[in-house]
Amino acid sequence: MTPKRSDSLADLGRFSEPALHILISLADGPKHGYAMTQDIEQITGQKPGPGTLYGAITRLEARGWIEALPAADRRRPYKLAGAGQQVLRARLEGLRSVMRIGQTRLASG
Amino acid sequence: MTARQLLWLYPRGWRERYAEEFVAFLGDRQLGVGEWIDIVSGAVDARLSPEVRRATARAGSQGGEETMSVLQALKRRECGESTASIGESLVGAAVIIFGTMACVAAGNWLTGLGQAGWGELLQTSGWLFLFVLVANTVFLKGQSWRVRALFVGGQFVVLLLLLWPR
Repeated sequence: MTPKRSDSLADLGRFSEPALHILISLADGPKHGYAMTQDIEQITGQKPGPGTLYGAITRLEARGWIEALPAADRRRPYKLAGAGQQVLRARLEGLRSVMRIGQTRLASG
Repeated sequence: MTARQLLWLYPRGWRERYAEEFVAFLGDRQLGVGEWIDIVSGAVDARLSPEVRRATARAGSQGGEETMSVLQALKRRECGESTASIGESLVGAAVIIFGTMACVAAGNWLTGLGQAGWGELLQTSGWLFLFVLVANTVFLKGQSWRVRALFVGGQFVVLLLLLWPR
């Protein structure tokens, strides 16, 4: 099911890309802020700033796309929620389609 | 400057929900310029974004007991509530609107007196100074004098340096 427009990552404005990276990072299991940053740096080559990371976490949590777990040693891990999985699937599907079109046009150009 | 020091730029609800893990995430090390700018811009976003304000106000009221320390409670008693009332926000808006009109009129008057530089400054940028001034009573309500001085004083200095008629 494709999420409604109001439930899409694009609504997060400048936080949509960091939010996508967080969802991808949490797709293989819960992580706290520091582990997410390391993971995102490994995936994208760029480390999100602390203000940006927590701006995105706040929005994702408010929308119920990620859930906070009990804190361990002051660090609070987050896990991907069911709604977050749907949003992530839809976004990756959208990106796949954009990539396909781009590659087709490049090949024919 | 450390994360713990910059944390006070964030609204209270946000701090109650995220402060502990944010400090644990960054530790007490000195921050780089890039991180410093990113945190300040995150604090501005947390104060101005209705979505973040709503979410953290709710989280603060639900889960605040976990992180509400005696110090924070004392600070609240000392500074009062940190959210401006509708009345205070409307007064702030009126100050900006009517103040801008007054600035434009004063700018015209100064231009007529041959002070074109000052006249232009008032006409084009008067509202910016008013906005910063009003921020002190609306967005920064309940904050410590240090935070107010940084936001208001710092922005006034920057605006004056940028806009001073030459």
